[in-house]
Amino acid sequence: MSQPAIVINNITKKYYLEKPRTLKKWFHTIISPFEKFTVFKNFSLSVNKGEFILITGSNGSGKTTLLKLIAGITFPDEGSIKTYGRIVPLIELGAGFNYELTGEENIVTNATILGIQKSKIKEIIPKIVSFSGLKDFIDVPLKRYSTGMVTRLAFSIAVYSNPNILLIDEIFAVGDHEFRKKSIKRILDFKKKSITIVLTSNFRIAKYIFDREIKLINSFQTS
Amino acid sequence: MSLMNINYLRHYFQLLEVFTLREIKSRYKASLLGPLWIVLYPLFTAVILNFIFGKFIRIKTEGIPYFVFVLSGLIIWNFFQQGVDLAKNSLVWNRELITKTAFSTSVLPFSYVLSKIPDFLVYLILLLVSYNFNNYRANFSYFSIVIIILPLILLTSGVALISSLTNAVFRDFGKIVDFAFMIIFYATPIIYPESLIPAKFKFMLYLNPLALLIAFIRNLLFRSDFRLHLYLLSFPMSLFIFLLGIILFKNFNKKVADLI
Repeated sequence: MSQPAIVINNITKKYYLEKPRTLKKWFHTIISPFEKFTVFKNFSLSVNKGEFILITGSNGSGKTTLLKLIAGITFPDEGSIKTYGRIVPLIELGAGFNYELTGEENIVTNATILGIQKSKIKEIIPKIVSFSGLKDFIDVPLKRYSTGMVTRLAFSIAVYSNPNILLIDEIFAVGDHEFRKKSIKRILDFKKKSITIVLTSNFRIAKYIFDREIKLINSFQTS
Repeated sequence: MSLMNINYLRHYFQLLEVFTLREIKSRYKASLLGPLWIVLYPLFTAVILNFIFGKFIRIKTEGIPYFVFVLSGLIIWNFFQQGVDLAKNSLVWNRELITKTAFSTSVLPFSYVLSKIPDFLVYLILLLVSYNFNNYRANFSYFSIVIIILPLILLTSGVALISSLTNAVFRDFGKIVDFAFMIIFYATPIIYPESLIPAKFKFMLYLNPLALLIAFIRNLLFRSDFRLHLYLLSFPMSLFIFLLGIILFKNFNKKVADLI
């Protein structure tokens, strides 16, 4: 049971801060236009397959950065991160949707980004459409959708993308009550199928859902 | 390892296909005339240039009707210019995608360049049709000049990779590209024949893949002279710029999401 899913080994992550580009400070800026800001220093974490991790912490403590590091959207300056299996990050639902294109066209793009093969996408489109409840709108450009509808479409794609590791960033604040219930039920199903889940949240989440809580603490450092 | 590489490549090409189609589909979505713009744009450009440089300034083109003459240059110039112009913003426009999802970002500039292929083909048809209208005889073998797309894609993608990456970090580079366009447009024999270039500047043509390709198709169309070496000579420079773009992307790929 204790197969690893995510192994984070002693990472350090610094972000670039941009210095103000005013004429007065221009000279300084052109020599070194970026200042660095340390988010993680010598941070390690290992998550087992099938574990449900809850990450809490105040704003700016690095919750989203941690998910982005695991997903391979951004990379650590030092240390290493190993992951096992297909990762589906839900950092922001609907990121990368093209609002001129229809719902179905966006399903194809989004599923491709998640690494699903063409033949498989054809297969899951009807399931995504029916789970999202957007059957009547699927051939309409996304710009005509409501915010809730966009969210439902994005979550539905993630559900059928067959992840091994699911990374979820504070997305339960959206969608209507019924859809939220459906989503949570779906996530619990994932847990039963021993899919690894990392969820960040500032809201209280019922204890019985997750296995382990990790609290990130602010340590502002610029260099 | 090799299995992983094959999977990676397959995924890369699927991304490329999906993004290219996404760009082509969304381009004309909110417009009335839609894909008709693919025909109208080159037509208007050639008509305007024909009036200014053919009728007013009367550039000497060795008896070649100016309209066809300029079209044979524009087919190459517009693919390059429009491809780079779109692609230079490809990372900036897709910032959401880059900072919130994980995929190979180099697909973006590539897909914007490839999305200009339909325009290129329309140009080719337009060129051959107006060629026939001007008492030249084109047959289907003339479609073989479609091979110019190969070095053209290499060159355009290379410049697109470099300009999209630099523009993502400092927007200054986007402005520099606009100036470079102006210089390249006038430095390349597009609206004038290469015979107008003074002998001591002729060497510049050999460093310019666009000029070589234009010389290649003009010799073929208007002199029935198949100068393969002009075509082949356009490869080394195009390939060099392409590889430069690839290397640059390989080195800074992991920083893009943080810097954009």
